[in-house]
Amino acid sequence: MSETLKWAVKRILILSVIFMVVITSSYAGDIEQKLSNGLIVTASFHQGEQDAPVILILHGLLQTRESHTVERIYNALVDSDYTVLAPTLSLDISQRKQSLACEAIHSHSMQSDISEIELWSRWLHNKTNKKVILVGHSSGSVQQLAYLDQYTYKHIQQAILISLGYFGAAPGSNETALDAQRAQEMIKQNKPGLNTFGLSYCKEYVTTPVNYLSYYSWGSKKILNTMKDITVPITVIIGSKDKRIRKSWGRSMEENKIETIMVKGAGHFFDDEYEFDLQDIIDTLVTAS
Amino acid sequence: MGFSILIVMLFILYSILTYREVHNLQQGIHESNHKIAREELLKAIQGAEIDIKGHARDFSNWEEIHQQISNPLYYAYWHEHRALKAGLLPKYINDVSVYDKTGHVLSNLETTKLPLIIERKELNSYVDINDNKLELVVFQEVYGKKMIRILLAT
Repeated sequence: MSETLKWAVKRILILSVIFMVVITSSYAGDIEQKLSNGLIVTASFHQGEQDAPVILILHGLLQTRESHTVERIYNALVDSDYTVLAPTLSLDISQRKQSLACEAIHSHSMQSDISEIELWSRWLHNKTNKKVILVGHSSGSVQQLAYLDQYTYKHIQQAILISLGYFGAAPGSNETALDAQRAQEMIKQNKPGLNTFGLSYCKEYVTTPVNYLSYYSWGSKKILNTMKDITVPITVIIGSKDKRIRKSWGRSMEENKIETIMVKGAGHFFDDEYEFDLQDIIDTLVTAS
Repeated sequence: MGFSILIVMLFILYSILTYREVHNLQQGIHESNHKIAREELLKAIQGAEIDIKGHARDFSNWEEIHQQISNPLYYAYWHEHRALKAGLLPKYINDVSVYDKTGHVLSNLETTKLPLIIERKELNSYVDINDNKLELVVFQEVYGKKMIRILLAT
């Protein structure tokens, strides 16, 4: 082989390796994992810079990763070239892409939801070899908290809980103590089948009593107590005009010494100009840790 | 190919014309031009079939169908409360049944007149007359979703 040819081959090989490294380090797209029960769960993933924060962001009740608040945060974090994973909870539907109606059959539970968080957070940690920052929106924040309550979390760096509310009586919520009582009676009477309950914004949420109580049990007291017990740093971000939580909720968290950032004027979804306030706060929190 | 057939069919019953309209057409057959009346009826049925097949295709992409196929435990509830009441199908659809890939209905219900088993080889639309109503039966296959990239569960 002539020297010129050898030089050309060497150059092509070097370029190919550089190209492959670039492709691997900047991967962005949809990924899937198969659960032990055969369901396939999906997520959007962006591989950011090597030293950038590693973030897992979770959507709210019955939504997907394409719900507008979560999608906006995901895109902003990707623009900063952080490593970001945004799963869509399966809600017991393989490769789910559509939000699920309240009146649909809900065979999922808090337990099945947090098992999926465990799967994704471990995967993200193993892939990056870095600690993961959990971000949740609305009931996604409750689920992140429930996850920290149940699983060991040495691989978690901090949690940022946006619009963290609670199940149980709250403004704009449809569940009542009577619903919970009814569910408990059904369990006692060995009637485990489907029934209709109020839950969050759903007037008619169709599920089994056991699955219903798995969500309902995450009331304000349980959430406050759990936050006090967890050693991972937690920051709660709430809008002062969030109509889904009581005005005293922010005060309760401050009284329990939970780091809380109140954004004046923002609602539950941080729409309009509050979108940028929220992004600035998240950016400050993830880069400071 | 990313797509695969998950189940055989959706089965849709459609009251396309009332008995009275059919009767009128039949009268037309006797009284005037037999051939023209027959062509009119055929044209109406074909138009209805195109319309209903469009709805059936959209319906087959609904994730609640996929939910039922993978776990038909609550199929009876779903059939009664969701299939026709969720607002995805027009009101003139009378009934829907979902079948597995062997052609068996997901659950045997007394509330439906649709067959318990269907033959995959015979999936052509057909017209039936029940309770003095002309009904069109349409089939639609349901496909699995495209696989993106399976990662090993950790």
